[in-house]
Amino acid sequence: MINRLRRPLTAVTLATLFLAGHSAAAQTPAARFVDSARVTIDRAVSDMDPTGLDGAITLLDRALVVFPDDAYLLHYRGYARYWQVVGTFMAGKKETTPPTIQLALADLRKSAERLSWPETLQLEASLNGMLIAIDPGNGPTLGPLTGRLSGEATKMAPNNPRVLLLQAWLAEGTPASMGGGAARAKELAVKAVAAFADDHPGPLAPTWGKELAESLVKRLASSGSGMPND
Amino acid sequence: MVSGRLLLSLCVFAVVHSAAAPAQSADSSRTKPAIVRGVVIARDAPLAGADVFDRTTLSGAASAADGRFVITFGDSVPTPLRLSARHIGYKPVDTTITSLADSIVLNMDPLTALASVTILAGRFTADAQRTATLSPMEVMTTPGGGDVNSAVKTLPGVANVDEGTGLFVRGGDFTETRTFIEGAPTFTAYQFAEPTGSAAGTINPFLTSSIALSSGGFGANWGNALSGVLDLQSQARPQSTSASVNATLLSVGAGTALRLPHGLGASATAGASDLSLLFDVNGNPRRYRPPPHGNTLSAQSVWEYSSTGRVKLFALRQQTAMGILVEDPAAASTYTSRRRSDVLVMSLRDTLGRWRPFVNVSTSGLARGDSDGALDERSQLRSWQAHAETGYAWSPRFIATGGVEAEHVHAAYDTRFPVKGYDPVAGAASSATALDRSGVREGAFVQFDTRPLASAELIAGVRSDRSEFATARTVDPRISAAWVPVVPLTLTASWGIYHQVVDPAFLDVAGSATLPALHAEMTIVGAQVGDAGRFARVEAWRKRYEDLVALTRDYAAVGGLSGHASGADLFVRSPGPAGTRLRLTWSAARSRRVDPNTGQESPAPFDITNSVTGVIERDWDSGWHVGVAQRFATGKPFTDVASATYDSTRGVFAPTFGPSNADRLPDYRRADIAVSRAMALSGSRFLVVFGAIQNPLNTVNLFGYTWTRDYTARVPVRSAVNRTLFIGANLVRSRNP
Repeated sequence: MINRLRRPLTAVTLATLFLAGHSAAAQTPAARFVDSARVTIDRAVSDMDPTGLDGAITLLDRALVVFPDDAYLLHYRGYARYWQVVGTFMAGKKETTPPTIQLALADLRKSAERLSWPETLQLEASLNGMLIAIDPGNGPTLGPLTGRLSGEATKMAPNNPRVLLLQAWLAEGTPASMGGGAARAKELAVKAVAAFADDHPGPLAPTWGKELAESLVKRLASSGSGMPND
Repeated sequence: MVSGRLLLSLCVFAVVHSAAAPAQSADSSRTKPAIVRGVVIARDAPLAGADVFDRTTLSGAASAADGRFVITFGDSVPTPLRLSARHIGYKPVDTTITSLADSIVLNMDPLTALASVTILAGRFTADAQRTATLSPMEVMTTPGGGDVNSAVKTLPGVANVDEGTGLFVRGGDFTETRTFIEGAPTFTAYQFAEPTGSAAGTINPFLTSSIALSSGGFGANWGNALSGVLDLQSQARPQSTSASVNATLLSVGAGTALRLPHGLGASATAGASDLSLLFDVNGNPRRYRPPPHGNTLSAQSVWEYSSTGRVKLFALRQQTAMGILVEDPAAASTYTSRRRSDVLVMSLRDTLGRWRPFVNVSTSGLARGDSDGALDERSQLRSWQAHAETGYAWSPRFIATGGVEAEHVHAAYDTRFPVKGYDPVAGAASSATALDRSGVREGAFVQFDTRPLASAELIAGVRSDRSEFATARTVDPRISAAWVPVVPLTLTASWGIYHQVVDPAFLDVAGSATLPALHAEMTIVGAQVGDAGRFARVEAWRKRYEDLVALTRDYAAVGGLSGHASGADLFVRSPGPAGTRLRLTWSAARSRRVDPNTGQESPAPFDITNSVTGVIERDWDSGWHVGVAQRFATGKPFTDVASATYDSTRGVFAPTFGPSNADRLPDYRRADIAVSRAMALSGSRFLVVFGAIQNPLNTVNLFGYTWTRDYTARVPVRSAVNRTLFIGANLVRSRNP
């Protein structure tokens, strides 16, 4: 039975590899550097390794010298900076992050002009949410922007697990009175975990987040979710 | 079978390899050795921290303290080797090396980077980026504020003359500060002495996205403004489609915003206000009858037709009316006032390569009717204005801007004055004047924004205006400089000449066809340490006025008056303890003008020698905001009555006044508290509830003095703001995509 299936399976695998390789290369001449950066960032996030994150950004800086304004490279540099900002928040130095947030937003905005990835929009929303967290006085101007970008990301891909996960983190950092809170975060995180079961990212597209979503669900469950965090 | 597998394997290799192939150079044939060494130098010295890398493989390394770098390749070094070096502050280096030497030397030239110079003399901005002072939300939550002008009064250089909304900027009258919406001028017409203080038009801050006050030192692109420019930018395209309702103790309103495809957006608001309920709750110490009431309509549409270009259409219409009891020595009377103002402006702004065009076309109007005893004034002002300018960025160091504008003003006045100011009662002898005139003002300007040093900015320009209401063409050279000798210190200076066409109302009273344009020469020097949320800024300034016009107590216009003013402003903004934000403004000024009654120089009626405002605010993550403000100002000058004789013809006492503005009201003190909370509700609804207590200590401040019928005793007239509780809520429902 297995032998009978071997040949068709091989053919399908080959076809998939061909299409994936061809498709990735067709999307951007910087494909291999995009892929390297993606892997490096995912490893650095998984290992909580800020040096690895810096290395990924250096690689992307270099690649953007060779391929200026490449939308894929810009997305991943914005994404890597998002994690730099998260790390600085966790270190209790959030007031130092606005310059990095602005750099990340500039990359993501430029990327979004050519590349329609829902993760790009949601990362923009999350970074604007961080600016509100740093200075609540930004709420009236950046709050509606954050809401619109989140809405557009959801509309573009209602079941994108990374969008749901980013929204869960954003909700976790937002008071319940402002539409966030642990209960809302848990709801989104659970949806994100479920969405990973049917997640088929395209070539070069983000693939991260499954373990992070599962970890978030566990953390929220153990911390007694459902209680507003304000 | 084996050959089939081999074929498949080769196909797999080819497919996988093809994904990476485009990123590799066709001439990247590989040879040894696998290590490249070199050194980065700048100005003949080693340069540390440069990122040196091969553009084919992106392998690279950072240069060490001695400038040396070592790049390790997997197995061989690509030839030719295409090396790049990057370092912030240095020009990029890209080179191709065909023959590998023992050591590669990369020479990097320092980049004469232009430092960010965002501070200009006299300019205090309040934009959404919060780069300088106030955001629209801060305007709204400024204790004692709630409208643009009240909050702008907390900025340096604005004197706390009274509790009205007039902006008395650096020794100038409030009519000398012009308000522009999207670059279009609105009217701040001259007003005759009013028992309510300065009442200049002001708007809801949430109709704006950016609020900037130039208390002098403004560029040649701003015409027909003598002392200050309040530059309001209307809201950008709405972020979402939404509907809102609001209700307070004094107003109700509703609004809607539409975010449409193709870069389009539109919004509209409608509101009505009436202070009756507020007075019922808090008392009515000035005996308003009827209490101030009015309505406001606004509409806006935006078309962002490209990433850099947008067209905006903004319309605003406001109506107010009120009456107030006036205790005049001659007799008590009721002053009534009705005003209707509107502005409609269409503007286009873009960046097209090196060009930065900005065009606007607008009309604004003001209709007012004021009466008090024998005084009855009705006026209609209408302006049609067109303005076109464009900047041209020759280089990052040099931007030239030129523009032209034309403004057609139609003024109609129909006024009846009491013949003697001391006998203003209804039925007293009066004289009537009328005016129905149109005039055109044409202006042109050119301005050069240069960076003579990387850390300095110099703006020099000149404008010229010709008005059919003025006797002669005016020419205004202006120059402004800012220098950042060391971050975060900025030194600023400006000098300029400013003209403003006299209000046509004076032509009526003066019986003249034209009058010279009001003239001011101003010099400012200043320094700022810090930026964004923590800075201290001090500016010293001096002004000289000529060709001023003012009314005597008997309503005669006197022209050719002069004056001078000088002062210093301190503005400090800093985070405070326990997550608070602090800001302190202290404006010290001395303003003297020739009095139209005596022809002698004396303190100006708005000569407030010290205005101090301190604001402490705190936001909580839960959406709470609390702000407390404390204001202090030296008392407003007034002219006391020395004696009085009985005028048997008119049956009233005629006062003899003492030296002009030689006495002062008691110092002004007032505290304000504002509390608000924002919260998200279900169904994409957002609620903001807010409350305020104005003057919680119920401090009695004086608006002025009146006298007994025979002028033997002064009677204080208290200000309108006693302890006042104010509450309200705003509910927004938005629909995100």
